[in-house]
Amino acid sequence: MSFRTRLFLAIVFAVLLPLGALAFGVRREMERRLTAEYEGRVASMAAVVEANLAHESGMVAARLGALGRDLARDNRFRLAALQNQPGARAYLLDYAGAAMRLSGLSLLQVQDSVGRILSSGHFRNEFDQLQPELPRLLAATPGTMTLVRTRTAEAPLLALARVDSFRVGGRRFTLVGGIEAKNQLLGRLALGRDLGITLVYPGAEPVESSGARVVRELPLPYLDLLRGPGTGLDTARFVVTQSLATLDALRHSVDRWFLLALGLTLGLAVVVAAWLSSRVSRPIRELARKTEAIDLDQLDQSFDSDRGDEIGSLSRLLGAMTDRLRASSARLREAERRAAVGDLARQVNHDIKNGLAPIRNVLRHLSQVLGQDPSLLPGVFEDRRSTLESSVEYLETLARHYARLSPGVERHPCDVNAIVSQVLRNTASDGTGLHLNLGEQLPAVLADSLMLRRILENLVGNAVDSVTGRAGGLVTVTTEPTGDSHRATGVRITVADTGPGMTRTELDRAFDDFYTTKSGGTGLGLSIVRRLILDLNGTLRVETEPGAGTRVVFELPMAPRGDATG
Amino acid sequence: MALSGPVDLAHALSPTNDSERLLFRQFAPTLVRLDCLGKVHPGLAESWQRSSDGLEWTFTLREGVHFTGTPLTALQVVGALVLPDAKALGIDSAVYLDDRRVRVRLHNVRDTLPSLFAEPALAVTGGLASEGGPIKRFVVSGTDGRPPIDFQLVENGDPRDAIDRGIDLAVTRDPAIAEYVAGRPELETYPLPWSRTYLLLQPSGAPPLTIASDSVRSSLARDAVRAEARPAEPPFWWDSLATCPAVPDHEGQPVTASRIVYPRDDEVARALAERLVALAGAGSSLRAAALDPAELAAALRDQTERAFVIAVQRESLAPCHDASAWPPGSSIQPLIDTRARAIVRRGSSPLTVDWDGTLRVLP
Repeated sequence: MSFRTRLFLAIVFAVLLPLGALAFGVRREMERRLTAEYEGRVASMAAVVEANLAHESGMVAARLGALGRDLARDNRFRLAALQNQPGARAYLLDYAGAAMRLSGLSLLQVQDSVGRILSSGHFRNEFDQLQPELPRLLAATPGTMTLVRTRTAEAPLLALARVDSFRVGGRRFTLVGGIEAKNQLLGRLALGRDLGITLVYPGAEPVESSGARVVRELPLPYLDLLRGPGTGLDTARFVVTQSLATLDALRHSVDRWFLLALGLTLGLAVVVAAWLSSRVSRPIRELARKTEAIDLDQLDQSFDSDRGDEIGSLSRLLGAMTDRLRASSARLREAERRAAVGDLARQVNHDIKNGLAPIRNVLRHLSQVLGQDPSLLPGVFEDRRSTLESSVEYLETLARHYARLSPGVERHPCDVNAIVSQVLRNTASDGTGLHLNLGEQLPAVLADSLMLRRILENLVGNAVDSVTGRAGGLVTVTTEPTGDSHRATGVRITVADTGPGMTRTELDRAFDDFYTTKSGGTGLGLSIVRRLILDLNGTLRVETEPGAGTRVVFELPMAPRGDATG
Repeated sequence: MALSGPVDLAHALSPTNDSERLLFRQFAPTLVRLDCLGKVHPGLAESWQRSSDGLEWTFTLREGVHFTGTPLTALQVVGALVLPDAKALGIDSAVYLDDRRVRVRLHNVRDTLPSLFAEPALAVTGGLASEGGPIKRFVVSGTDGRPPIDFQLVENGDPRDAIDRGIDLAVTRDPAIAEYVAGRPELETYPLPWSRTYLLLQPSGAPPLTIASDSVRSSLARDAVRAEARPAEPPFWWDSLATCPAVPDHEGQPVTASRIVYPRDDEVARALAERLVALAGAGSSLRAAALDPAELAAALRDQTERAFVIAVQRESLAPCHDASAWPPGSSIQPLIDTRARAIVRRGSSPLTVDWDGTLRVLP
């Protein structure tokens, strides 16, 4: 993840997390306070419901008392109820209906002492029915209203009822009156938009719980006359419920506003974070780009900055570092140049020594002949003249190459056996056995004869050096064609010695510049050999083991057919 | 004259209440009329003649009869006799012979003039029935020098208001109104014939609901309803329904409803239904329910209710026709008879009573 992305995310989260915490806190606090408010209202409303019930109970009791007193003085009631006078019977039958309407009751029943219905207001035609349990059970809960489920002709009626009695002509009559529970009372007890009150009684539909919760219950006696005779008192409840709609609406409102604020903040944070992270990371990226471009050959990057912050400091540090690098690079180049001159001098020295060695050998030989038998000197000189000439020619060519500093390779078909034979002739073996094993019908190789001679002189010289002083030391140079018997592809030249061989470590470093195991060696021989073979498109390998001698094998490609051998 | 119930001219051929019956009887004449003893009197026709085969009757119309201000023509009479209801009543065809004569062919042979021709469904309405609608006032123009009759709908349905305004005639079934005018010397109260019978009609697929005894009927008449009532007394015209053309065998659908339904605007029917519910006992699921006329007709047709409390005219000139809306195979239990009272201002026009208890103003 890039620094810019991290910076961006950090800014966004730094904005969002506090906002989320704020929304959560506001939501929780709002819910807590609203719930507390509701609980207070519920307690008040429960008190109101109880007061209302007491008030309604008192009102019903007052109306029943008034009706009882009125009936006690009512002649037509007396005639109908006591004398059973036909003319007054219709009055009695209609009495409860009229009285119920006048008194604002929803249920009114007049019963005689055995529980026979004399007049019913809510169900006119239930007269003459026996219903003694109604006044008896209502009288069992004096002072309170009882929820009564009775019937009318069309539908059940749920009423809060009380009972009263009066006496006419020495006979006791009962009055049962009440108000409809659902429509009248519950309508008056409407508690507002968020609080509702429901009447729950055995067999009733359960309180709808979706979107509301029950917060208070007020029990009251319940009598279900629809169950038939033998029914007893049960318990009903006024259930106060709290609608969660307002809370939900508030919660949704807060959520909506929070989401809106979150969206706006997120958008703003993204823009600001993008701008800020871009602004912060741009100089860093610029520094990275400049730093990436720095190379030993390209140290001209400028890290100048007038910023006073950390980026300015970093830029100035990089600038100082580049300056130091620039100085170090100059010093390194100078050192390299000096090292290269030294190398060249050593290589020239090495090559000249190689070129002078045959001359020194010839001169030493001539001196010996001169001391032993001067008459043989012309003959010997004539015999060794070619060696001198070839050495001189070698040195001249060497001089020309170095004069060009970067000599080009002049490839032409070369006779490998001839060059090998010449090199071995020029090699002073000092008692070392030199064995030449030349292959027949070797193809000419495409090479520079001088480079090939330098290769062989180095390898044969190294081999002779390795066996010098060792009894039975032997150096064998072998040439042979490569490829199959039908078609040669080049020539393989093997220089093998019976010297001490090399360890693996020595072998790994054998071709490094300036690495040598010989006292007085330059450490450039094998390095030069490898470079020359590669320049001739040849291959080189070394087979050696400590105590088992060393075999240096290199192969050179064959010259194209038709090219003259040089 | 006070109309205590709603009146719709569309009901001219089939009146639905006392007010419509009273109004239409005054201006929608039939060929003949029957008095309260069943005696035939000339109506639109002054004479009639039977064909030799007894199937055709030729009516000679009275001269100078006007209808809503224009002379009545034989073509109008023929038009009334070829309506679909006429076919259902047994009239095969009606032929215009000349401006005063109409020949009617019946389905069945009749030796004597069938009283059928006094049936309100065959009355001449001059197109009023088809153009009809609810009315609040209707003036029947006077003929033969008689003054016009002004029928006024009682606004709040209480005839006492109309009586106090000086109305000459009100017909009511409410005993309280008769009681109200009892002490008024300028008004006379006459009981009209028992004209309406309340029935408990039960489709054949419904569990039977039996009205056990005459004492129950007496109780219904005495205590259950606020009307002048008596236990229903035979003869009942529906007892002869067995002679009606057979209807296809009807297998009653099982009825699962537990309601006794009644017409919404009939207080007596409501009281009877409620009393029947009360008599069924507290443990019964039976209950009463009011239905609008269309709902009631549909319930009768589809037999979807446990029982029906309906009112029918005690007299019928065409029993098969009048019972055609009842579910085939229904159980019919007559409950009570009711009658109306006529409250008449002294000195107003003389009145007579037709065969079905409807008042008719005499010249």
